[in-house]
Order: sequence, then structure tokens, then C-alpha cells
Amino acid sequence: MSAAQGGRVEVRLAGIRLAHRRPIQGCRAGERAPAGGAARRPETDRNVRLPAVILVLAWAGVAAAAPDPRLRLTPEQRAWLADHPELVVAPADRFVPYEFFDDKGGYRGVAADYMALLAKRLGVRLRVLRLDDEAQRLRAMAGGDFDVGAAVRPASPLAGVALLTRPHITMPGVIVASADYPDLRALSGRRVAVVEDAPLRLDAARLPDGVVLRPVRDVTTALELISNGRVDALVTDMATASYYIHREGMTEIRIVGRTGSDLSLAMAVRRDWPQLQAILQQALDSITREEHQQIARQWIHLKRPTLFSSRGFWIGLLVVALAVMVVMGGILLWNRALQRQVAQRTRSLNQELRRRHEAERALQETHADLVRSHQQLKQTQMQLIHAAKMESVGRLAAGVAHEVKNPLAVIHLGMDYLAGELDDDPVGGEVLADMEAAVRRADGVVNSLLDFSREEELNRRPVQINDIIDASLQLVRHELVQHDIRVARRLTPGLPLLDCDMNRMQQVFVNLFMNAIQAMGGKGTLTVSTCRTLTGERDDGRVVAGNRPETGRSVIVAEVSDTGPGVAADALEKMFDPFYTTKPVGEGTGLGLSVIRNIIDLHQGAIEVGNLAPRGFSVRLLLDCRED
Amino acid sequence: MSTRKTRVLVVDDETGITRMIKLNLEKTGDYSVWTVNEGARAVEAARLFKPDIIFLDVMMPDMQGDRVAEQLREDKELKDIKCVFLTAIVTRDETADGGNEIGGNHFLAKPVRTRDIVRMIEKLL
Repeated sequence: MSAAQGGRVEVRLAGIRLAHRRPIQGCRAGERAPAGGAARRPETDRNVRLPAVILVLAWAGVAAAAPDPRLRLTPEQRAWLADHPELVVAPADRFVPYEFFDDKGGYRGVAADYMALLAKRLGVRLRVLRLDDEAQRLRAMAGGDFDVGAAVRPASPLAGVALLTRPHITMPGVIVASADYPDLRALSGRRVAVVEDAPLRLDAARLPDGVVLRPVRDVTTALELISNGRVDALVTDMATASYYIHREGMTEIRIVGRTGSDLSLAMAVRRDWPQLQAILQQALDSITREEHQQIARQWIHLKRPTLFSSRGFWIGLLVVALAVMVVMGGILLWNRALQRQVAQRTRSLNQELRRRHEAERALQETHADLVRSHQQLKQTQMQLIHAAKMESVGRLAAGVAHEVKNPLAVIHLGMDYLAGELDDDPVGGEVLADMEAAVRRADGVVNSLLDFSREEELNRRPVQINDIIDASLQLVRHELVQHDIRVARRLTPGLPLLDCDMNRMQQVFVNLFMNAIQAMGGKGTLTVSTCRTLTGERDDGRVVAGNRPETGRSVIVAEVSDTGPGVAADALEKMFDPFYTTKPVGEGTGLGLSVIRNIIDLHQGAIEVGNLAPRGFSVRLLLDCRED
Repeated sequence: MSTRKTRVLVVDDETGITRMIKLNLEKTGDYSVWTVNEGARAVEAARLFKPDIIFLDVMMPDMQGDRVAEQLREDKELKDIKCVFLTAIVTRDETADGGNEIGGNHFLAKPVRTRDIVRMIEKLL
């Protein structure tokens, strides 16, 4: 706009084509008019005779159309319009945003839009005349150099030399300020700018007390001062405020209130054309509400200031925000309560789980105890049965001993007598020897029975088990040699002493050795070993008698094994029964293992018997080891 | 060899035993033997016979041998007579090592041999 400043601009435009947003284009043509020169307009081509710069901005559309049939124009008026197909408009310069020239010299503004609308409706062409200043414009209007002023304040000097329509633009006066001022009252005692060269003067009737008015050159300057903080507010109208704030992007500046007075703008018509005044009035009256609003929307960009500036809105927002926060807080609290509940529940569930695990463990232990108890009970029961058997066997043995040994004694003594009578009869001597052997065998059976049934106190002494074994081997040495049995002696030296009855234990080993020798029949190896160890798990393949020490107990184990044929599985189970024997009649009493078992029982030990692979049989004695 | 024969009293309910012991001992010519087959008559026989040694069966139906021995010890005249028990309920193993003595009492296990009796008499007298 500054490029055209100070020159005259003529703008032609075609109303029909004039879009609201599209500026009317033109080009510079002409030169500067001498100051104070009078302007007169020729009737036909309307060339400005004034020595002025004439700018033909645009020809958009050529022929003038007929007036809008909706207008109720009189025939005279139609005729007048037909005689005057072109209207010359001279806008006020820089009356932004009502009418002004843009950077390219286009005629723009609220009033320009109205003019374009009227031209279209009336079917006339518009020519825009750009004049230097308001004074020149006043003279031109008075001299009839242009036909229409599109936005004229009724109180302005121009209105005094022209005919006026009724105001077609009414804009509320407002006060704009930075967002620091929520309302008008806050402006009390502040500096408020007023544009001094504005073509309009606004009443400052609503301004707060003590406001200091500061005249400024134009709206842009005023807004800059506000931005810099050198002025607090500006008095203007709403369209102006809207336009500048929007154009300058001054979002921090907003409308804080109305002045209470409106800016009214009317159209001014040259004084000698009352017909045009009437025609324009009719055309203006025909503008619909929608058309008014459409034009206003082009230029007033402010959003409803009532929304964000209204106290109610913010209070409402605050209330809503508070409500949301309260609800969120409630949800949060509820959430935490739920979390606590979940955590608590989880804790108690875990505890429950632990309790159950413990209970299960306890149950398993109890079960193991029960199994152990059951085994002990079974063992005890076996021992009780055995003891009961022994008691009856004991009574029986005593009776048998008495009843058998007395006759044997008679026989024996009779043999003594007869031996004296026989003298040197060799046959008689053999007979006596056979009798002697028979008596001895019978006596042996009864003695075994007595040994077996005897349950007297043990004569316990601390003894080295290896010594017992050696003494026992000595006793059976004759048998070993006779049967060609090799002895593998694997005795661990330095074993703890056993608290036991040496004679009884010797009886045990002699019996075991004799059994082994007899089982092998002839040629074989008798293995005897001792060691100290911890009781292992029970071997299912072996038959156990006596009081087997618990697993993991320190025991002394003495094992006697042979290389004989072993024992059949069903025989294994019966091995400890009294009188059970696999030997031919006359070769065994069937009391050997029973006697061993009783002696080991008296020592609180255990016997395990079982076959060996590939052949052989072993008897293992487990004797509780006394640590001290 | 002394001029006086050793007096032996044998008490046993088994008549075969008492007779055989008497036969075998008297056959040697060194012993004078009395026999009694009831425990209850043992003390009376001892008073009459005044034996040097008494062989006493333990298990007798009317009176047990230990009871007889008790009565003998309570008698001033008889208490010094040597007593040897004859029993069927002791095994020979026990008699072999233990010196035929249990709790201060001498004993012999049945079936007894004549030479065992002679050996015991010689040992005690």
C-alpha cells in the first residue's frame, strides 16, 4: 500500500466476478496530480481530468448486466441505471478493514465487498478511484468527481457534502488489551491508546475511571505498543480489532470489553444524484441477513470472545476439571484400595499355600513315621510270635531233656556195667561203641534243644569280634581240613569292642561255619569278613531276622559266606524257624540258625541271609556298635 | 586204698539210674552205695547211712533235689556231707568248662558216666 501512497488510483472492476476474497487487480498508469488541483469528470469516458495518477486496476467482465429482478425498481430508476452503467467509487485510504488497498493495489475491505454485491445486484460496473487523502476525497465528493463512498460515518465531514443511505454497517466499539487484563475494571488507571487519525471517533463512555488516553498514529502501532507493554489497551471497533489481531497473529491480545457505542457506516452518494441514493438504498435493503453475515465472517475472525474470556467458562472448566480430578482421585483411591485388597489376598493365599505345603510335609513325615512304626510293629510282632514260640519250645525242651536224658543215663550206666562184664570180647566192644554213639546223638539233639530254648542273662564283656571269629575258626579247623575248605579271612583291624557274651557269640560263628562247610559239601571257600559301616537300605532279596538297626546307624557287620549252591527262595523264609532243616535226617537238628538267631536277638542285633550271585550263600550279622 | 569203703548215697526217682550207679561203683570194691528213690526219704537215709558223699537228682516228683540239699544243710550232723546234683537240664558244654559248679553247688549232667562219678568223688573227698 505504501507504494501507491500519495498517488491516485483508478480501479475498474466487474461486480459479478468480484469474489469476496479476491482483490481487484490493476496496474499503475498515470502520474501524480498537483496538490490542490480541482477534479472534474467528463460525462462519457469518465477519465479523470485532474492531473492525477490514474490506476486502472482490473477489468473483470465487460458488459454490464441487467439489475436483479428481485429489486423493485421503478421504470425511471431502471432507465437511470441503463444511462449510468458504471459507478465510480473513491475509497477512504487505509480505513482497514472497511476499505483499503492491498499490497497489489486491490480494493478490499468490508465496504468493498458490499460494493461488489451492490454492483452485481444493480448490474453496473464499478470503477475505483484512488485519492491521496481524506481532504482530497472530500473535495472530490463535493465536486462530483466520484459517485459513491462505500463506508462513511454519518458524523464525518464527507457526510456533510453527500447524500447518505441508512447505515449498512454497524460494528460495536471494543477495548482490546493483553490477556493480563481479564476485564474492563482491571484497566482502571491504565494507559489506553486511541488512534488519532482514524476516520472515526469512538465514544469512550464505558472506559473505566482514571484511564489515561494515549493518541497513537494507527492501529498497528497501537497493537505493537500493547505487545511491548508500553500501552495497556486500545479503543477501536470489533472489525478492526479482529482484523489486526488475526493478521498480526497477536494471540496474546484479546477483546476485554465493549465501549458501549457502535461504529455506524453508511453509503455516501454525490449530492446531485438523489436517484442513485434511492436505488442504493433499495439495493442495500435487499441484502439478506445471510449475505450480511457472510461478509462479516470474511473480516471478523475473532472467535467468540465470550467463550475463553468469560469467567463462567473458566469457572465451569475449573469445576469440570475439579470434578474430573475428584473422580480420578476417587478411582485412584479405589484402585489403591483394590490393589491393597489384592495384595492382602495374595499374601493370605501365599500364607495358606505355605501352610498347606507345611501340612503336606508334616503329613508326609507322619506317613513315613507310620511306615516306620508299621515296620517296627511288624518286627515286634514277629519277635513276640518268636518269643511265644520260644517259651513253648523252652518248656518242651526242659520236659524232653528230663524225659530223654534219664533213660539215656540208664543206658549209659548200663553200658559201663556191661563193658566190665565183656572183658576182651571184640564184637561186644563194637556194639557198645555203636550204643555209645547213638546215646551221644540223642544227647546232642536234646542239648541243642536246650541251648535253643535257654533265655538266661548274657555274660557280657567288651570283646573284639575278630578274636571271637579266630577262636571259632580254631574250633572248626578239623572240619575245614577234612572237607578241603579254603578260608578267606577279611577282618578289619581296630574295630570297636562289642559288648557281648563271648561263649554265645562263639557258638554263633561255629554254627555258621559248620553250616557253610556242610553246604559246600567239599571243596570251596569260606569267606568271613568284618567291618564297621552305616546301615544301608534294606535289600529286598535278603531275609532279615531280629532287630535291624535303622538306616544310617553305625554298626559292625560280620559276614560269613560260602560257595555252595545257596538256598531256594521258599526255604529262605523258613530258615529261622526252629527244627527247619534242609539236611538229610540225622545230619542236622534244624536248630542251628534258630539258636544263632536267639543269641543275636539277645544282643539286640540282626541277621540277614541271602543268596549270592553267581552262587553261594551269605549270612550277615549286624551288631549295634557302642561308641564309647 | 583205705580200709574203709567210701559211703555213697544216690538219690534219684529213676530206679534204673540208682541201680546202675550202685552196681558200677560197688563193682570196683571201693564204694559202699545206698540208693533212695524218693526225695523225702533222702534226709532219713543220710542220718542212718552217714554217707561221705550224696548224688542228688534235681527233678524228682515228690521233692526237688535243691529242697533236699537245703534240709541236709540245716541238719548239724549232715551239713558237712558233700552234695553233687545230677541234672538233665544242663548241657555238657556247661559242665565241661564251668568245673561242674554253679552257684557253689557241684553237679553232673545226665546222661552221666561211671567214670565221671568216680572222678567227682575223688575230686571232692
